Amino acid sequence: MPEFGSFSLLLALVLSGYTLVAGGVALRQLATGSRGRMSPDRLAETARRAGIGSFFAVTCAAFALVYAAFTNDFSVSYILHHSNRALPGPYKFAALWSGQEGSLLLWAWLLTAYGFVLRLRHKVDVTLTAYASTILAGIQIFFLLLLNFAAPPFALVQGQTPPDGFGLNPLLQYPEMVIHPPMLYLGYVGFSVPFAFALGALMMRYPGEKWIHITRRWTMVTWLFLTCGIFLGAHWAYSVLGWGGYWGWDPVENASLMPWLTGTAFLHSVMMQEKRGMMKNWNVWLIFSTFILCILGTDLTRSGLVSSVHAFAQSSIGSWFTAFLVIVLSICLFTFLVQRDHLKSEHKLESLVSRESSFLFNNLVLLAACFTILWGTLFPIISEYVQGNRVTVGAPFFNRVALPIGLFLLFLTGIGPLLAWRSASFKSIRRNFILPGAAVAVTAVVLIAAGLRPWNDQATFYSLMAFSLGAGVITAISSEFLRGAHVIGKHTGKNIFASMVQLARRNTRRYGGYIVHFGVVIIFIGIAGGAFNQSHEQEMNNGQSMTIGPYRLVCQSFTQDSNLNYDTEFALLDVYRGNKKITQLAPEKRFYVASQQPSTMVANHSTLAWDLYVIYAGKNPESGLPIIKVFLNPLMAWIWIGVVVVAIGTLVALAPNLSAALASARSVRPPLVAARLEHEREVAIARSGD
Amino acid sequence: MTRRLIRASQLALLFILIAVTIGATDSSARFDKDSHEMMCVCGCNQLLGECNHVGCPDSDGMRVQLASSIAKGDSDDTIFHQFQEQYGPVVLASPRFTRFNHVAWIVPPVMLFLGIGCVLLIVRNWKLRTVPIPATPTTPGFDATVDRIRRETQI
Repeated sequence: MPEFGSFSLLLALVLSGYTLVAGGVALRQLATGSRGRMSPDRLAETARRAGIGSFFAVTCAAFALVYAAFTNDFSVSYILHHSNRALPGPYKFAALWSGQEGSLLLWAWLLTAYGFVLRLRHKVDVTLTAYASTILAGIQIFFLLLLNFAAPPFALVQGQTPPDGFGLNPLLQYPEMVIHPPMLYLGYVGFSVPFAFALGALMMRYPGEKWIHITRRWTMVTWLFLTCGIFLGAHWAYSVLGWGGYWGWDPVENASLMPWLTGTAFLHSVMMQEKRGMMKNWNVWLIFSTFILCILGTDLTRSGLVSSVHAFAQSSIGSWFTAFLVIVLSICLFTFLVQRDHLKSEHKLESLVSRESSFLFNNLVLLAACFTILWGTLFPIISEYVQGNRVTVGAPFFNRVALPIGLFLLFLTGIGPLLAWRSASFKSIRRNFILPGAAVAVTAVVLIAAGLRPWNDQATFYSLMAFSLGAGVITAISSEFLRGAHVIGKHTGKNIFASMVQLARRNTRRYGGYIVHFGVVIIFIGIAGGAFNQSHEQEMNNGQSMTIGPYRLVCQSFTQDSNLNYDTEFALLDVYRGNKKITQLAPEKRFYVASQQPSTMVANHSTLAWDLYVIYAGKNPESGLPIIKVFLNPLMAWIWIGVVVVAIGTLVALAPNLSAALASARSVRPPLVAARLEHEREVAIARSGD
Repeated sequence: MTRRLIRASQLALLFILIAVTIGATDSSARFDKDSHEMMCVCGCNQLLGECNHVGCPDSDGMRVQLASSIAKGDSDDTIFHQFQEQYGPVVLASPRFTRFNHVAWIVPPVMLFLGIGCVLLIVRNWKLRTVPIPATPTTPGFDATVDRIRRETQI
């Protein structure tokens, strides 16, 4: 099987090479009108088929590695180091991405899979897809070169094959680890597709904005994957690392957040290009930057340039990524300089107070956040170069610098949708902002009256800001929904909820976007709850109790157990609220046999108000009693709920508008064309007061 | 409008000043605050206050050292200086305000404000270059439609 895997990877490299060369030649012939022995169309078709073939070849390689894991083939070095006989099946599957070589194989497989879909759907626009396919083939070649020569996953063990493997890193033996990395990689890799389309469209001087329409769904799906991947990682860190938090501003976390920020900026500013033909240069560079940041993040962490708890050991592949980065940047820059006259805006910004300018500021803030994170991640290297010593840039720096930027972004989330395109009059601003503004003020006053003291410390101040701004944004979004639903309800006789559903179905992109914003507010509220975290640590004997917030924990017993994979120590704690027992928690400390590493298994009782998060910190060697650490984390569940809402909103925005809904509205009130109602309203608001 | 804008800017500035100047002054919270300003040096890349490794060779000793320094009445600066002397500059979780380290803190807000300045400048130039387009003539009944839409969308 290892030979089959190696051969498949080599075949995939050859096929990708053919796709790049033949595709490039065919496109050159098409552009110049020259002709070789084969017509450019046929040559391009062979390139497309070779690209499809590369997907099957990489699939075979991935299958071979998974097969080796399931059959305990420890002659393969990768399997020896990332699996063992007692490892449960799902984690053997997860071994595919638990090490450097395997994760690169996963990356290559996802890339060819995206390429496969793109090449199958080539009829959307044959020439543009041919450009994108050729560019994707170039990216595929890079990863396949790595897999064939720098980090081969099928390298064999020298000498005698050991009877058992060294096991999977205990931190990765958690159900979320089976889905978090693929999800994150789907996001990282997925940005290759809009990048390839953008670069292809620029190379061929593609007329109009059709490439944006083609890539809109790709970008949104990719963004959704990246969002889910980031938050699954946060949830994994929260559930496994056992320090009571979910985001530590580690370089690997930062590396995933940076392309997410630029991708989010692109999703917003691309609307300006679609609606007003503006910001073409900006959009092209946003998608270029997003792709480049995906590669840069990987480069930073895998080259060992920055230290991280997640980072793979320093290896030679860092220089490969640096070289690739330089090549990609050079191609982007060259193409942009040659073709930049093609990117002239069709309109100019007419007013500083308009939807366009809110997008502009939203982009600015998102990029400022991205720059801050990049700066903080790179500063230790810069400091070492300039001062001769490396400093740490950790959570306190990012919390101080990035949190105000995040709150500013929350503020823009609220005001952006309330501004009209082109220009918003003072009258319309006053009308639209009066309710959200009142919500902000009332929330702040109520919270202060309820005992929140923002002048006591920075965290409380930021929390108050987040709650108040969040209330404002929710009011703004709700009023947008209510206004539309009110009109529909009036004309169709439907109740308010049915009207809201119909409203969302009529313009899925717009209302899906609002739902995403609503989810973002919920996430901010969950994060703001962190200002009121409490923790308590205590040694506990049988029958002893400790109290935190409204909960009382009573130790029933503490014991140990073992199975083939690990030995475990755990405590059984009854949780009471008042005199009522509400649950029993069993925090564990495991010691994995194969890897000889310990791991924490957190016990968490989650409610909408707070999480009771319990850690078995180990035994006191003197007393032999377990040390239990308990956190009470308010509003934690809302972070994960917010992510679900964001995912729902994105799915709504991805759904096509339902013409049936329009038809039904038209049949009720033909003179006022329902489909134009919203547009007319916007125009009316824009004009009023001018 | 201008007066309102000035007022809004003043309020925003006040909020920023509060955000920058306020800090935890309660001495009982000092241990928690300071332990979150330093890193555990065992290589786990976690904040000292959050390092929870079983048998971590460093964090317990560091926490005891921090607690005794606070009990002695040492100032935060003295404590950070002592830890830096003993464990090197990587022990501090964020760059202190010394020499080149100022750059770490200054660059992000400077870039943000430069960006805002650039956007304002670009918009101003665009506005100056834009020839005002006369409003398109309204279709018959447009104003009535506008009024109706406004009435219907009022909540």
